[in-house]
Amino acid sequence: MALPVAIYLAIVFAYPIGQEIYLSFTDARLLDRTPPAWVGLDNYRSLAGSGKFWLVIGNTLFYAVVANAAIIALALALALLLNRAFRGRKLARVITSLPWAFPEVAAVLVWSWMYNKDFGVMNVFVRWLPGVTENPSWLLDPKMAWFSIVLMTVWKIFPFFSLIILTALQLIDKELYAAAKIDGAGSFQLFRHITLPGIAPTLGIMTLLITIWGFRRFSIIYLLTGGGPGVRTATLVVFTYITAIRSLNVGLGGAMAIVGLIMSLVITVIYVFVTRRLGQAQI
Amino acid sequence: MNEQKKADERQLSRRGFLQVSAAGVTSVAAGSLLSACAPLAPGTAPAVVKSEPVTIKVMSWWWVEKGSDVALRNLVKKFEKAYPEIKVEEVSFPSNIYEDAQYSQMAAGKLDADVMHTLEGTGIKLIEGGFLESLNDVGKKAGIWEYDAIKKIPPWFWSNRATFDDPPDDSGDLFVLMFNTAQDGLIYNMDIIDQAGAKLPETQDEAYELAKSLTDRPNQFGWANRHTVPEKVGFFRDMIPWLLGYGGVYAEGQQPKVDTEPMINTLAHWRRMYIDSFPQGSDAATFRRMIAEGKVALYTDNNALPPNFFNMNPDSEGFIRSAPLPWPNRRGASFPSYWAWPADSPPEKKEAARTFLEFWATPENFKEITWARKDPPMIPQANTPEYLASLPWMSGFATTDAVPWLFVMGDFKGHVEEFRTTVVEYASEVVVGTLSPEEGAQKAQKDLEILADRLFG
Repeated sequence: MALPVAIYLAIVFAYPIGQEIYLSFTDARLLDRTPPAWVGLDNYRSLAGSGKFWLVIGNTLFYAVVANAAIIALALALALLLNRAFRGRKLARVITSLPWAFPEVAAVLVWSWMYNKDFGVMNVFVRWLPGVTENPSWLLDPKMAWFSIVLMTVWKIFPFFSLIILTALQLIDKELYAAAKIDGAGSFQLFRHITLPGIAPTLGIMTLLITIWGFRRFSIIYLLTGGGPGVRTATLVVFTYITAIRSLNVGLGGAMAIVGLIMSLVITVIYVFVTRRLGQAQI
Repeated sequence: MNEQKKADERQLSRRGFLQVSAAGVTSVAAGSLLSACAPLAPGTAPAVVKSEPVTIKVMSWWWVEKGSDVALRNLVKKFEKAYPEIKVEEVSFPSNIYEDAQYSQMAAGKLDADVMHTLEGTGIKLIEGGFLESLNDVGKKAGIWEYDAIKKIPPWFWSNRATFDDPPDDSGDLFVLMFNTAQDGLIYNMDIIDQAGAKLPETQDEAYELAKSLTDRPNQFGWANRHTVPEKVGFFRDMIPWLLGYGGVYAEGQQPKVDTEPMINTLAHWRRMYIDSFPQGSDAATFRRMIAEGKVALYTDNNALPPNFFNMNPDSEGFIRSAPLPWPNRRGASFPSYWAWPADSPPEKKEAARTFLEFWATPENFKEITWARKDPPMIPQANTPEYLASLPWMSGFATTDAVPWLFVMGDFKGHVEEFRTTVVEYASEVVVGTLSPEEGAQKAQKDLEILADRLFG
């Protein structure tokens, strides 16, 4: 029974990852018909000594932390709102989930239009703010480019996260709230002692997932800025693509991919460790 | 008249050859079937074996390019009528992803074509990778050696020409055929210039001053060229005529030359144009539409662009014109597109592909597709006063002292992708002001010297 699973895992996971690890120790180049030569740790040394690579690592962490924090905060707020009884709640739930349903590439292209410095609709909104007299360079100034990327990411991702939290909220036993209210608990206490523990496992796993998805999110960043100006908005996955596919340097790109894999594994291990510790504490 | 007759004879002999081949194949197949059936069913009527038409795949971005699509399909229609035993199947990718598609196919080890369009950078990779077979024989039989255009195919596509000074020689291998080329010029909006009472610029500084004076954001822009990382291919390409105009190149031999004065001048110029006249952050599709709608005054690009504007807005044919490039040496780049064939096509497909290319190369067909696409005439038959008079927007391009764009790449011709990524990475920082032109140039040079060490040891 285990054989098909083993074969599947070997084909889909073990071989590609093994091949990637091997390539990261070679000077392999795309379209080069000569066999790649073994270069040992040269690619990793080259990365360690590259200021650009560390900038990209910093970008990756910044993007993961800032975008994820915003996604979690907004998704939680929206889920709490949609969990209340009000007229048109079903319609509200459908509308709020629309951004998640849009095809990503099409959505990014629309946003890139909205961010156009001369013609984009975002200029209209930002010009309402006091003190703003010029259209911002939404995608060309590095700081504004990060703001634009994070804003679009949050818009695209948080509805899905919000629906998941909403599902978890609805699984919490309503009698717990009724009992707590009888005991005189206020809104904050209800949230702190019933809601939050009730959705904590869901929040945990979703945070892990969106962090890992954040590390490998490509189309939003690549289509909006191409990682530019320079590599100032390039995350590890975008930089890996630029290096391995656009610059044809598969060996060095492979080393970057392995660094990305290790980062994702570290986060997973931390998550498993923390949840086990929390589980033991609860027991 | 004689040439037409010769062309017809060529068509007939080719058709005859294919018919004989098809008949031969049919006879052999029928004979085999008969001998196989004979012992089992004596006297039974032989099975009827019909020869299937040969289908060749023709890969090009023209299939999905307005104007070119009609021209190419008309040629194919005419071809299939003349050679009913050959069918043409379209394989198309838009021009902005065409090279990527070819790279992917190369990486997979197989090209999905029997005849294909290719650009210069990819063409070199295809030859280096052993994907192409010599077309010299086809060229000779098709009579293209009689055309001056043969001299415009750069030396890197020949096995026996090292430099532009070496005369073309048909004793070696020629890996591509060229049916059209495009070269840079200054494209301008006649109405905007006339209304402003302006004189066309003749230097880079005059170009900047005029562009700045004609900019009234967001209604009108003095100049448009590509300048963002997502359009890095176009960004790198658009800087080439300016770099040549300032007297520079990206590389000489194995030595990158991006920290030189011409490159620094080019970067500084891009920066000031970005600040004072570009539609900032707009991609080529957007600003080209603006050009067609009469909202951009000046633009450097090649002669393939105006027909696109006319397709977007027929009125633009009344105001789009070209002029000499705004710098004294008039240097610019040419962007030929080439036709090639993969080395690993099966023989019957190769024979059909050869027929297709020879059919195209007949003067009548060569002329027809040139006129349909509004290309500069490359053969005398297409170069008539009436044709030239029908293209009032063409004259400026003809004044350019053009070099094939890969000339600026030195020995990095086969490594354009890596080179381009580095240059655009720093150029984009210069444009938005996070690096000065000098800093950007020096950083790019440093990275490219590391690349040169890696590539050339």
